[in-house]
Amino acid sequence: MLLQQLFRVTMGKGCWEKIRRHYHICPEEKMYVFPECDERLNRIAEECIQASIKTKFYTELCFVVVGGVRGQIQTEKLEAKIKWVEISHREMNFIIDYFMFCSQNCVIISLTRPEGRNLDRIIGLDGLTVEEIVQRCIFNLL
Amino acid sequence: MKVSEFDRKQIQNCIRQYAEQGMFNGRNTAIFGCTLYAREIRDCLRQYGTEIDVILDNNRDKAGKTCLGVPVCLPEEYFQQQLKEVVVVICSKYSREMRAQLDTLGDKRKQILDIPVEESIRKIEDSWENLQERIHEAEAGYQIYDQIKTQYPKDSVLFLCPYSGTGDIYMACLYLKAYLEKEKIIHYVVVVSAESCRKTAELFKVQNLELVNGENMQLMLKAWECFGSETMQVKPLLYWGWRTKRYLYADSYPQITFNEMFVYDVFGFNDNVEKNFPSIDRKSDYAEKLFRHSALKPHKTVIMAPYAGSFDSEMGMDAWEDLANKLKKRGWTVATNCCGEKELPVRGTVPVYFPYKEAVNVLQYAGGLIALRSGFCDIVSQAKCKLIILYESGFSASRYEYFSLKKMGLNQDVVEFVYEKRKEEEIKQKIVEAMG
Repeated sequence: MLLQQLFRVTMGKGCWEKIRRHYHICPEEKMYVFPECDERLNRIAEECIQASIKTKFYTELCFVVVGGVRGQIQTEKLEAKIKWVEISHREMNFIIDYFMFCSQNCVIISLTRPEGRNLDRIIGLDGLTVEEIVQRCIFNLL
Repeated sequence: MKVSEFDRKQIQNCIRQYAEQGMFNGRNTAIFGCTLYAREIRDCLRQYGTEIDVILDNNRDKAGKTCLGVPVCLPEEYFQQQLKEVVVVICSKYSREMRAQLDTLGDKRKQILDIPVEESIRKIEDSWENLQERIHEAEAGYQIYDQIKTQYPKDSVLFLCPYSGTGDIYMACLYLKAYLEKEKIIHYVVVVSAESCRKTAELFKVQNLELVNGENMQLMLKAWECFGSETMQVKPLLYWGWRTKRYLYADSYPQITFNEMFVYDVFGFNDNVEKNFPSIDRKSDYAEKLFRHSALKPHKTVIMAPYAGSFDSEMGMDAWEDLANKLKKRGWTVATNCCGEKELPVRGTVPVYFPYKEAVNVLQYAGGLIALRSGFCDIVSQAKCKLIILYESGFSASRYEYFSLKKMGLNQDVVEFVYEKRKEEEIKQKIVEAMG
C-alpha cells in the first residue's frame, strides 16, 4: 500500500512536470483542477473563478481539466489570462494525489469533501443549491 | 501564534529604513490586516514617533470595530473617504493579492511598504528534490507511527493532537469518550506533542498517552497525508480542513465557536453530544496548604492570569497592577498564576503555581479568577467561583465570538469582557464591580 501510494504521487509529479513545462506554468500560479465530469458543477466553478479574479485579485490563473469534458466548459467566457490544459482521467487522478500531498496552491473542484460535512448545518450550507455550495464552500465567496 | 525572531527583525529593519528616509512624515499610516504582525508593526512605528491611524481589513466582520485601539476599515471604504496621503504597511502571505487590491484603490495618494516575512517569502516548492524530501518525511512518519502502534493491540487507533495548546487537547478529550462509543473503538492511543497537553489529557484519565516531539508529530501527519486512513489507523484531531483546504472555517463563518469546530468538524458528530468533563478530587487538601503557605485568604482571593501562550495582550502589567490594588482595597488578597522567568507576578501580588489537576479546587478555594483567554480558562471552566475572562477584538487567538466560554457551553455564569485599550478604565471598574 505504501509503495503503491508513493508510485501514484511520483507519477502525478511526472504528469504535472510535463504539463508545467509545456504550458510554461510557474508554481505560484493558482491552480484549479476539475476532476469531475459534471457539466453543471464545472460551469458554476468556472463562473466562480471569474468572480475570484475580480474579488480576490489573483493576477494569474491556470486550470487543468480532465480529458473529454472540455466541451462542457464555455471557454469563450473566460478571460484571456486563464490558461487551459487538457489531460486524461488517469493523469488527472495521479496529479490530484500529487497536489494533495505536495502543493498548497491548488483548488479541487469537487463536491466530495472528506472533512467539514457536519459543519454544513452550523454554517448554513445545509439545503443550499449546488451553485451556493460551490460558491461558498469551494471558493469561499460569501 | 506569536511573531518569530526572524520576522521581528525583518519588521524592525524595514520600518527603520523607511522611517530614516522620512517616508512616514506628513502621511497617515495604515496597516493592512488584523494579523499577528500588526502589534509588532505598531510598536516599531512608535519608536520612530509614528502612530497608526487605521487598520485595513477585507473581513466584513472586523470592519467597523477596533483593533489595537484604532478603527478597522474595509480598504474600499477607507480609500473612498481618504484625503491625505497614506503609507500602507503590508506584512502577510497574501501580500501579492493585497498589493494588487491597493493598486485599484486611492489613485496615487499612497505608498506601500511591503515587509517580507517568513510566510510571504516562502516559495511554493515544486521540484523533484522537494517531492523526494516529502516522501522521505512520509516514510519517517510512518516508521514513528509503526513504532508506537506495535506497543499496543493491533486494532488501536492513534489520535494525533497536532496543536500544543492546552485548550485544544482539553476540547479533544471532552468528546473523546463519545467518539470512541460512536466509532466503536475499543483500543486507542492519544499522542500529544507537549508536556502541558499530556497533563491536560491526564485530567480525563486517558489511559494510553504518548508524548512525542513536535517534529515527530508533523512527520506522522505528513505520512497520514500521503498514505491516508486506509493505510494508517490514525485520527488526526485537526480543524484546519486538512487535505482539501488549509484555512479555518471560523474565519469565514464567524458564528462558529471553538466548541463547534470540535463537535462537528473534528469529531463529525451530527448533533449535540454529551461533554465528558474531567472528575475533580474533592478530598484534596492541596488548595488549603497552598493558601496557608502563601498567606492568602480562603474565599476572598482573586487569582490573576495575565499570560496567554497564543497571543500578546494589549493589557499591560500596569493595568493589572492597578486592578490588583483596587481589589485589595475591597478586602481581596491577590495572587498571580505564573511560572518561569518570562511570567513575572503582577507587582504587589503573590506568585502561585499549581498543577492542572488542582486548578479547579484552588480557584474554588480562592473565590475568583481574572484571566486573559487561554487554554487555562478551559481547564478551570468548571470551577464554581467568580470567573472573569478577558478577550481582545481584532485578533483570532483571543476572539470572543470564537472562544467565549459561555457560547462554548463550558460555563454559563462566567463574566466576559472584550478588552480595548481606549476603554481600559471602564473595563477595570466593571471587573472590580463584578468581583464584588
